Amino acid sequence: MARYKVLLVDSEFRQFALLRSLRKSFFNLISSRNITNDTFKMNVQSAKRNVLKSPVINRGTWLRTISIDMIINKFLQQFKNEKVQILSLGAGSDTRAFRILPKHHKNVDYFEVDFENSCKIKKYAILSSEELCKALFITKTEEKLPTNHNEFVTQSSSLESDCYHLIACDLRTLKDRKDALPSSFDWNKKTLVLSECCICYMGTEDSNNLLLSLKQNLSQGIFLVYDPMGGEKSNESRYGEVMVRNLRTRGIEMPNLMVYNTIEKQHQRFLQFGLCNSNLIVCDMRFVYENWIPRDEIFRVSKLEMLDELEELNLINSHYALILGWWGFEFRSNLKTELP
Amino acid sequence: MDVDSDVQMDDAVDQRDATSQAVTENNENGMNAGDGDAVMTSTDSSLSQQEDTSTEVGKPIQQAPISTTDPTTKINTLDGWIDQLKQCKPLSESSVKELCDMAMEVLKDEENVQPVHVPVTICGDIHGQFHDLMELFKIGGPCPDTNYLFMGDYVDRGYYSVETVSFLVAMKVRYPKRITILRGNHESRQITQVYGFYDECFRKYGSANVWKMFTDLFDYLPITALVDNSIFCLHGGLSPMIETIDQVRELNRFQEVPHEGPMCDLLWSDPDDRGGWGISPRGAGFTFGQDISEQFNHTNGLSLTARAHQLVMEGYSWSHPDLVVTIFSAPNYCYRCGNQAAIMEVDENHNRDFLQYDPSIRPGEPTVTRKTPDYFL
Repeated sequence: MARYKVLLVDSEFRQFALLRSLRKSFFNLISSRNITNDTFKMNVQSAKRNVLKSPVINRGTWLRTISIDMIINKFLQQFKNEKVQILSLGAGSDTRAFRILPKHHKNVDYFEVDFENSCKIKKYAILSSEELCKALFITKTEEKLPTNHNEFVTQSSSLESDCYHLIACDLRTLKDRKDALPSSFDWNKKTLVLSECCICYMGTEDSNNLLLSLKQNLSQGIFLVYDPMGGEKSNESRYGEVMVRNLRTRGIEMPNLMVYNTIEKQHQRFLQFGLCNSNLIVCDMRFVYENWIPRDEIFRVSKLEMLDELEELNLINSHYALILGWWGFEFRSNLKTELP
Repeated sequence: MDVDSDVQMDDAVDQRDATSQAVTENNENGMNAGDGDAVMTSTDSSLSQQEDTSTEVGKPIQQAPISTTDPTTKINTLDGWIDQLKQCKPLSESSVKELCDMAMEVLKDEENVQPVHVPVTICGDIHGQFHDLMELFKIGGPCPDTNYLFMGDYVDRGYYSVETVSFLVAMKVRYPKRITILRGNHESRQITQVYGFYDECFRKYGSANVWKMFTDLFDYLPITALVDNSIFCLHGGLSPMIETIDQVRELNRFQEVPHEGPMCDLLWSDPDDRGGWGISPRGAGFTFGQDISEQFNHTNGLSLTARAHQLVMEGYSWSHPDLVVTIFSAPNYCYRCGNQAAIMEVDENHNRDFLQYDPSIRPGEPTVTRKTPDYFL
């Protein structure tokens, strides 16, 4: 029979807290500590540091990250001999570019779009870190970091290197203003449009107008969308209803949660942009977890952090959609789709 | 510790610097702003508690005088605690100590397979959802008029683990023949450190003492119950190392839930559509198929195995096809899942009836002050 050791309670908990600091091993990040610390140095909300995430949230975030990485890598792999673009919508607090550009800067132009203030916060986080500048190939700038609010407000939000472009833009206006994107953005290059929990914050019409205009203006593109869904409402499942209510208490509105509440509705939505059925992959994240991720990878992660909330993970995952839709070229993903 | 930078629009926990003073006695207000998801998102290893400005810190609680010797005084004391807990107000640390000592005396004599008689109402996971537990007693009828059997997982996840487990333990000591409380996989030192009970104790009492008292008590909880030799009740499921109920009786249960072995399996396993034994995706226990349930129920002359452990959207769910039932009694689990809850009444004639219920409505509770659960945003 196994025995337990009663350690000093405090030290036992410390040890646990340390053990749970697993992001590095989850994501195989090498220098994540430096990147994240620096990123957050400038962030006024840096009080969020040191929050322990529950295992179900860790697992879901891990799943989202690696499945999106997997698709982006397939895209970059397929077109490794030409210059492609990534257009990341609402990317203000995203860190993906830091990981992609050091490896792929020769054939990727990375464009991040967000509201002006989010861009500024990100810009100063980057500029205050040598390591982040290096990751994005940003050369020495003369620009001074703001020292007071007035300087923060008046300084420019743009930041560019040969491969990285941070663009302040209200996405609701992008459909009418192609020029909101810098001239370095080439509407004829193959472009991966990434929305990782971005368009879900926009109104139904605004988000659809945005996607439709991108579809029409880009001659070759691929949408990669990760979006929450409210699910089918029934007596025994009020997941979506509860989510709407919970988010509201945090001041968050997601107008499409109950509009595109199932993968079928999301599928219909993307067909309406003129994508063909054969160029669409629509799945929920539970399907992704069970069908895309290699067994041994799930096993590896399961050993890192025990997950008791399996049913909950499946439930939450089944309320997130991963949507891939491409046009103007053939994307060879070999990924299983949930909808025929 | 790394920062969760990949999460866009991260949760809005207002994590204050962990410098606040520890509260030596408990605070009274059970429904304060911080009594939320902070349970799952504790501070760093500095271990200082999060202080909620909205909390009336250190306000002493009126409590019945302490005595355990005189039976009448003991009952009065217990009734006083129960009344206080019914209002979702935690006991003082010294009362918890006294309560746990009394409970150990009661539980140490219970069996690994605690015999229970019909009529009884069988309940699944509660997980600190105190108000929903009160709703459960409304739906099922008040205890001690109705006999209850709880199949574990009183703590973790919900905002009121302290009040929930204190209440159930107080009821157990007050009405030992009327209520049976089994051990779930969350009644463990390890799991409670990850899933919130530890943090909640620390936040509400300013130290880990109360956590220590309760987790020490958990070692005494019976691990299974047998309703009139017919319904085998336990938290998780079967074990490849257990063929007969007598083998459960031979286990030494007075220990932390082990990582493996029969006691672990009884608290962790799940029924599965696939036959035979399978590796559990949870990392502990096993999955067991219909063939296993058939064999076990047959060998032991059982009509049914009742268990909890898994979230089921309708509150109860049959497996194998009617040899195993899962009962889950935490509606809208984690304030996020949107599920119904259920309890199973078994009457004198062994007729079974499921009562389903939704989350309790708590008029006047300021929902905005509660920390909302996380999503992958």
